[in-house]
Amino acid sequence: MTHRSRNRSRSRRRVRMGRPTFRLRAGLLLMVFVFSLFAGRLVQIQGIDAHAYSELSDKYEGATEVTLTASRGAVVDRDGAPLAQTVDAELLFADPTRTSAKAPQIAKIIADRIDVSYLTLVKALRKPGTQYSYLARRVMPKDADAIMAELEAKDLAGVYTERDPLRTYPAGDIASNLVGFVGSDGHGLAGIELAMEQMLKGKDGHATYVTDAQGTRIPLADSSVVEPKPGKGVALTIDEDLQFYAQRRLRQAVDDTGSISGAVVVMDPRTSQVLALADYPSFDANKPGKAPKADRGSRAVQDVYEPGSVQKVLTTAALIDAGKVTSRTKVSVPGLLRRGPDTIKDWWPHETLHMTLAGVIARSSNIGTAVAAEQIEPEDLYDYLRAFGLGQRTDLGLAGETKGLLPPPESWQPISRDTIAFGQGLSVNAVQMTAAVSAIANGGEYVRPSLVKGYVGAGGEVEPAGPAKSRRVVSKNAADQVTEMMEMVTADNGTAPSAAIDGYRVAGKTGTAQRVNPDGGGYEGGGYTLSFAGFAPADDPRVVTYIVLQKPSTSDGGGTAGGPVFHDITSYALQKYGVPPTGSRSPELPLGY
Amino acid sequence: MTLAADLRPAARRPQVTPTRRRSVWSRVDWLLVLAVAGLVGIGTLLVWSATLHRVDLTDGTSYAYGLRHLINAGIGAVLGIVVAATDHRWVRIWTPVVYALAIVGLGFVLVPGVGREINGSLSWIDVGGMSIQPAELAKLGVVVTMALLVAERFEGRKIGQSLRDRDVLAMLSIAAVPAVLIMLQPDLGTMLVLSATVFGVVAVAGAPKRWLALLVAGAVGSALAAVALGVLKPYQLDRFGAFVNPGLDPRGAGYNTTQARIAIGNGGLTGQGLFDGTQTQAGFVPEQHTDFVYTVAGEELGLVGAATIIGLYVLLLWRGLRIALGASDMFGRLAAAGIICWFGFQAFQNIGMCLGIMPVTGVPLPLVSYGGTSMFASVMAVGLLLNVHLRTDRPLGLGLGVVRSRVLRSRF
Repeated sequence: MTHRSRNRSRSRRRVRMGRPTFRLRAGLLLMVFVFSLFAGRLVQIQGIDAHAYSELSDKYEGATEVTLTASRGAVVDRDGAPLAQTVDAELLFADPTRTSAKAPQIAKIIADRIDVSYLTLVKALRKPGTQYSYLARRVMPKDADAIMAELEAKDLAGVYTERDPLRTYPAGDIASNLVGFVGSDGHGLAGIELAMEQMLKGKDGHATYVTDAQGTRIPLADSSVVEPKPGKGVALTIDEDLQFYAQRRLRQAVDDTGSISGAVVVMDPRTSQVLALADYPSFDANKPGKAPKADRGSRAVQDVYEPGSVQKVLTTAALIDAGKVTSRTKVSVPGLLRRGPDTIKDWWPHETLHMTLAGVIARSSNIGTAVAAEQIEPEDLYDYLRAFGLGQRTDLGLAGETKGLLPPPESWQPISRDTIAFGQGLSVNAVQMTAAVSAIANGGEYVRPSLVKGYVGAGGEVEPAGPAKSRRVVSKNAADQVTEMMEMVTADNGTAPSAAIDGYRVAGKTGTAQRVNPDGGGYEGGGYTLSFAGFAPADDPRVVTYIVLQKPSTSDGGGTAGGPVFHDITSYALQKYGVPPTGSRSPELPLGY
Repeated sequence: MTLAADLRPAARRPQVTPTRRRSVWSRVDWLLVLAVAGLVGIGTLLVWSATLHRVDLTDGTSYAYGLRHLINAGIGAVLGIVVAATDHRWVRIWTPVVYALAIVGLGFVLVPGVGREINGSLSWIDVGGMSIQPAELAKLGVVVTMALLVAERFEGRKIGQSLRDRDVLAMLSIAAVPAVLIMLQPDLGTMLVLSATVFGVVAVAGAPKRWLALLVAGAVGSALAAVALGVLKPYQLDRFGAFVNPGLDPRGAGYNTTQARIAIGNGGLTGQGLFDGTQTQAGFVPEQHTDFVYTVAGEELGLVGAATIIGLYVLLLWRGLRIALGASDMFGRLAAAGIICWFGFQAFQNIGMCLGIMPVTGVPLPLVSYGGTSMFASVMAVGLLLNVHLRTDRPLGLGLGVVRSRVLRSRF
């Protein structure tokens, strides 16, 4: 106390002294305290949070974890011709922190080689606040190599490449509606590319690169590369040549008839494998963006329409199988058939006619079919049509397939049995209808249609797709009788003599149906759906061909418009597969009595 | 209050006679030597490990840096022993020379074409194929010169006389010249260490409290002014920002911080083993053989190794304090105090930076980091500590008890 007061009293004259040894000790104490804090921090980082930091280190090593994109499987036709394939290409990107200073020089070198604008490049090379800026995608390797070599020669750093595979469709618009296309991220957006995405894409691998503060990549000592698993290829049942021909012939038919769209399905009736599935209008799979959305899918599986008279083939087969009629059954066909408030007419005016069932088919009489169908209960007819695959998806494997509409018998109006019998009041898609006709061609046995023949492994080995399911719908006898009746259609006095192929027995059936106006309001303004289904040789069917033309501007019936298309495409297929004429002659069925 | 001994050097004290002196070997502070040898030994291994795969530095000879570090330590040891064995009078004579050399070196660094710029600051000069960092020498020079100044002014004075304002001002001007030159490089880290050291010496010299308050206020004020006036370069501010939140920019300013912390965290309790640290061997941590050498210890030697280094520093500082307290003259006390402030603050700054609780400022870890000048200056400083201790007539032993100093004893 005393010295303190003395100090205070002296403070005017004398500066108060510090206390050196105290300060030294205090200093050491402070330091030891701080180092204890450090030790505590060490324990925290290494003892308590060690796991977290350790994980971070794994992740950090992978801060530039590079995805090794699995190469996408190819889509090929039944003989291995490529419809969609992946070629190597590269992505160019820049680290703007390294390129912004020399952006003009770098941009010039790149813009000289590839189709990217100079200004866009300069902007990308100067993009602020990032170390990753896209310059160009899907650059061909030779261009990318040339660019990188020139940049290196001029000592311009900061541009890098990454693998960026490019999906190409060497066949262009051939089968594009089936194969589909991929988006900019390389994932399927339509068709087989979308439906088979999981199989095609494979499994991406990854590699971890160490990147130092300068952005230099150092591969890790311990290999941390997971190799990508390449996707499997898909082999379609499509025959590229036949597909090409069908598409060309369809386009011509659509243009000639002024139709708004059309579809052709060609099947092998023994297996129901789709040999060709043409849609028009179509698009180039290499440039899907340039086509309207509606043209990028497959109308053959997506659009539904009322099948019209082709349906009579199925109705007749059901009637014969049920033992109600034969091809020679006599049918008295009145000029008009009244059903309650409605009246059924034929496409040509006539007085009461005396026709055999074969005549009804050959002349395509609605009234005759309706009269014959009175023999069968609605429930039974419904069951037969279900068995033919109507009202259910074929599960061909394409996205957006519709199942069509086959109303259940409970909901049938008095007229429903009649209209359904001749193909109105129900709706189908083209593949469904082809498969149903194919069942007739296959002796009454329905085989589920298929588009995928097998899967191609990385080594080229093909793993066949599972066997198609089949079921008997009608007896062989019923199918044969219907076939014989269908042969009369292509005879000189049938509705479609233009479908006949010289030297071959050809069975067929025309269809002309009122088309529902998609804008609503029933059939008014919807126009017509013209179709033709047939197969050859009739006594040993190898090719089933079905043609549908929507809303043609001409007033031709299905035979006139569809017959020649059927003729040309089926002839092409028969020749391509070297199917000889069977040599037998079509039986001459009586058409009237 | 006891008025006791005057402030003359102990050698002149009558009670100290050669006959009472024990042998030199027994009077060496072996604990201090042990701490220093431990730090240098560990440092050599760490530098070696950090540069094992750095082909860009070592030209393919994996042990090149470890060997050079060892050679530096060897040269340092010779210098240190020379300093320790030199008579105190000669030490006092050489003191202004060291200071002058440091000033000249710092001047040369700033001459365009002579100084070499690394990481944004001009800190090196090449002399005969060797890179010299004069700022490292300046720390030692400032400490001893300030100690010399106070000693010259005090010795002979009677107790009760205190440090006057002009004494403090003279001490500060000794520090000011190299400080300005260092700021011109600019080398913020060394500047911080120098400031802390000067503060320590001024405090231990017995400067009035208001001076200490003024120095603290001045430091805070100039820091604020530097930020406000934009004196600090953007990268310096970035480092501070990244220190607060390293996640802000893990690829840029926060990179060092984050990598350092990850490397240390990677180590766990016992580490991944020397030469086996994944982050270290992959070359993730920048400047890992110099400023971030502590992270090698953290990753490869784990908590045990990293804590051992801290333990060795605490041992070093404690022995330094004993020597300062036991010093028989003002020069020895202040020099020792300055050296422990320097070592303590620099180690604090470096380890704190590696642990992510201090901003990134490039200062080496004394006696551990790779770097010739730093090693020479540090070992010479240790030599000076030993010199001061050797002149203390009483053994310090391991005693933790209060050392009765003859210097300013009255102040207790």
